[in-house]
Formats: sequence, structure tokens, C-alpha cells
Amino acid sequence: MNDQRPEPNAIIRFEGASKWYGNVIGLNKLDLSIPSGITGLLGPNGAGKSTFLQLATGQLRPSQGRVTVLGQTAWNNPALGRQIGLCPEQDAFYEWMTGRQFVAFCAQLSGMNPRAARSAAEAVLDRVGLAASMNRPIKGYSKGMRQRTKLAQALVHDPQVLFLDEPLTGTDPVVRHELIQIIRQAAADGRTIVLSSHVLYEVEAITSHVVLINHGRLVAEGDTREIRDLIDTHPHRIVLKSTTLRSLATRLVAFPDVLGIQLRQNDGSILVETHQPDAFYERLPSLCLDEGLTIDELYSDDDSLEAVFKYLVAS
Amino acid sequence: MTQLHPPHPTPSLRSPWWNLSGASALLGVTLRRLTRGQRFWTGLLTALIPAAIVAIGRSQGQPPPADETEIDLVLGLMAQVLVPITALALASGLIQDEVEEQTLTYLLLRPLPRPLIYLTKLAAAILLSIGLAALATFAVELAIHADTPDRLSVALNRTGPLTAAFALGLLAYNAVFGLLGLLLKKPQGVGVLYILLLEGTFANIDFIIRRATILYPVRVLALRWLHLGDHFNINLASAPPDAECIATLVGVAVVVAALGGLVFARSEFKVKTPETA
Repeated sequence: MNDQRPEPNAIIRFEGASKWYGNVIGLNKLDLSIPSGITGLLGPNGAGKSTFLQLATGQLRPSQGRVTVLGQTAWNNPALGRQIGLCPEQDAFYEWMTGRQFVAFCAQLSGMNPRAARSAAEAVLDRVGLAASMNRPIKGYSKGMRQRTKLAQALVHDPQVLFLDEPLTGTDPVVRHELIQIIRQAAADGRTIVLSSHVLYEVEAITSHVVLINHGRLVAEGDTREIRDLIDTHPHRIVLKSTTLRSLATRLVAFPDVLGIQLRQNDGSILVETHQPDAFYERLPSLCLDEGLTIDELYSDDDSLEAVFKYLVAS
Repeated sequence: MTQLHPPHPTPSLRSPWWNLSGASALLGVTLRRLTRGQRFWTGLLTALIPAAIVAIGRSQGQPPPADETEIDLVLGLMAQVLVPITALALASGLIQDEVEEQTLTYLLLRPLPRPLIYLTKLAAAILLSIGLAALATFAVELAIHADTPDRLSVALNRTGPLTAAFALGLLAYNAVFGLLGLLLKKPQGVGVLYILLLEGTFANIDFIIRRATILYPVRVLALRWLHLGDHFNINLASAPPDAECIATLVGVAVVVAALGGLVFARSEFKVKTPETA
């Protein structure tokens, strides 16, 4: 996981790529190869995800290193524009255009003649569920419709590689489900997709292959299961709820494998950090029986990728 | 699940420079952008100020002679202020507006070379500014010759050469202000200073430095083509010939526009995202 060997089938490749904005580091010596299929690009706000995407889509020039997509240099390479599509994060459009005009305009920019562009726009808008609204001005669109329009313009020229920057942001569960289906279908059609998000369960719903970045650095890369295995090198977090909170905490802190205990007065729980969760769980029944303590609820705080992400970013 | 492939896949172009469909679409959309909103209507109303001045003067009785009015309003007010201001308003925001509205991404991600994007947008500003100049010139000529029986044909006959001279000037002005818009964050202030100090001052002084202005060759051409004689300290006999004036204006436009294309191609436009804003 996260090894530096060049991936022969890489579609997107960052080779020692850095991006500085004056004294601010956007991306720091990133070595990364992204294969075909769907890859989730994860990181908190300000981690460098947008810089990553702007470098990969050739909008920004790396300050150092090299960024290639489909074997071609990404920066300022208009020919690459035929093979990549971007669904940007920013909620920006030519608001006075209708959805159909906007997507057809993008298709024409991609080299289609006006008739082919109109036809392609109608087809892709139908696919993303905007057929009924495509003749309305974009300024009247809901958030979900705007997200669909952005996705449609990214797909209209049938790109091989699709970059999606927070495509599910602000959408309701129904729209989110539909967008996820569209993204999955786009991948099933053979496209390579990079999906950026800071909401981890969204990415989990679409792919298990993720890249985690923070502060412009690669934190981890690989399958979510591999990333989960990394937890073993970090403390597990276990939450216990009890009516005998203080007594329980006093006993637990004496356990040799317990690294720390945090009392959460607001919900009457204890957060325990341990290196040996199995040993910890084994001791609990006898502790309760011998000491007469009660445990009302017990769960691991590490059940979601969110927890994995927190661990890795914190490390 | 249905396939996402559109029925008309993107044609394989020999070179993105031959993406004429994309360039024509961008030209049309840029023209529509420029003709929308308050700025356009302000520009349109401003362009009609000279005609309004003539109409007001005429309503007060005793209109001044046509030639004198033409010199003051068309070659004075319009050539020196309104024409360059129109170019400044249109060209300086060509790229900045797209950056501010965060729509530039949609253009940069397409198979269009960056210089072609810039030059296409510049062409839209040039076309629109020439259209506005032609309209303003026709309106003021019609107002000046309102008492003439064949006023329409007279106005049209004088609008043609004047618009041609203004168009040559607008080529250069738009190229200069387009470049300013790429180089400066607030190009409007510098542009106004350029119009008032460099153009407004030097073009009116009978000295070699006036040849460094855009206004001077425009006036020389207009004075010659309308047979108005010597004005603005310009001696038409010793002024550069028409071919030199035209070559100067076109040359400045081509060189500065090419420079703008080069600057745009090498520029990075970091998109503001919710996390970076």
C-alpha cells in the first residue's frame, strides 16, 4: 500500500508533483499512480483535493514534478480535453442559458458541430434525468438539477477519464442515489473516474479504492480494507456507556493496554483508546461480574471509514 | 441501465487549432455575455450621448455648423473618450469576468488552445465595440444632418469612413485593454489613466510622441476620409500616409493580441472553491 513503484497501467500519474501558491503548499511531492476504474480522492477541506484535480485536468502547472493523464502531460494540453471531463465543485454556470444550451455549448467547445452537439446534449441530459427541465434557464434549477447539469457537461463529449469534484454535495438522498447510479454506470462503460469528496461514506458507496491526502501530502492509498488494516498500528477507539461511569473509568485505566480514557459527560460515555482491542474486549465480562459494574452500551468508534480517515490524517 | 455514450461521439480533430466549431460557439456565447446586463446598456446609452447632445442643442435653436459639430463630437468626444472607454469596458473583463464567475473552467477543459480561447473572446469584444461605434456614429451623424433633405444617405456616407477609422482604432484599443485585463487585477483604473493621460494628452500635442498613440492615426484617417482639413494640431500634408496609419493600428493590434494570447496561455487561474474561498 502506498508504495512508490510506477504502476504500468496507470491512467493518471503524479511524479514528484508539487504545487506552491507563494509560500503556501497546495500539493507536496506527490507520487501517485491511479489505475482505471473508480478512485475516491479523500481529504478534509483544504487538504489539496482541488489542487490535485486542477493539476490533473491541466488547469494548473506543477511547480515541480510531472503530471500525466493517459500518458500525456496534463498542463495546457488542449488535445487532452477530448479525453477528459470535469464536474467542478464550484456551483457556477452561465445562468441565463437553459440546461440544454449550456451542455450543447460545452459539446460544441469539444469540437462537435451544432447539430451533433444539440443531439448529444439532449441524450446526456435525458440520461442524468434532466430531460423535462432542460429547456428551463439554469438560474431556476435546484441544487440537484445543477449537479446533474455539471455531470452532463462532463459526460457530453464521451471522455475516457472523468474527474468529479464533490459531485454529491448538497444533494438530497434521492438525488444522491441517482447520481451514484449514474457515476457507477459511467465507470461500467469503461471510464476511469476520480471522485473527490470529504464525505467518506459517499465515496464508500461508490468505490473501495481510495487515495487519502492531507496538507498536500499523500496519507494513504489503496483498498479501504487495506486501509482498515492500518488501524492495527494505531489505537482503537471503543465507546462504553454506563450508569457507573466513574467507577468503570477507574478500573479501565488500570488495564495495561489502555492508552487513554476520555469521559464524555454529555452522553454519559467513556472513550477508550487501546492497542489491543481483542484483549480489552475479553476482560470486560469478568470486570463487570467481579466489580458489579454495568455496561449499557458498547461499540467501536472505528466502524466507518471516517474513523480510519481520522486515524490516518492524525498520524 | 442505458449507456451513457452520446449518439454523436466527439470527432477526432487533426489539431485543437482546427476546432472551429468550438471557437464559433465561444464567439457566440461571449457576444451574448457581453450584451447582457447593466454594463452593456450603460455602454449603449453612453454611445448615444453625442447624438443626444446634438439633439438638445438643436432643440435650443441655432444648431452649430455640421463640420464643427462633427469635429468636436465625433473626432473629439467620441474618438478621444467614448471609443476607448467602450473598448476598456468590454475587453478588460473578458477573462477576469469568467474567473470571477468561475466559468473559465468550462473553457479551459475543452480541446481549444488557450490562445484561441483568448483571441476568440477578444474578437467578440472587437465586433461588439465596432457595432456600438457604428451605431453611435450613425446616430450622431443623423442628428447633425437632420435638416438635410437626404439626411439618411448623408449620415450613412459619413458613418462608413468614420466607422472604418474607429474600427481600426478599436482593434488596437481592445488588444491593449485585453492585455491589461490579463496583467492587472484592476485594469479599469490604469485603463482610464492611459486614455486620459497618454492618449488624451500626447495625441493632441504636435510632437513625435503622438505617433505612439492610437488616437493620432485614427484621427488622421478620419480627417482625410471625411475631407475635414487640419484639426487637433494635425497637419494632414505632413501626417503619415493612410497605409502607414492602417499598418500601425493593425500592427499594434496583432502584436499586442498575440502577446495577450501568449500571456493567457501561460497563466494559471486557480479556481475559487468553497474550501479556498
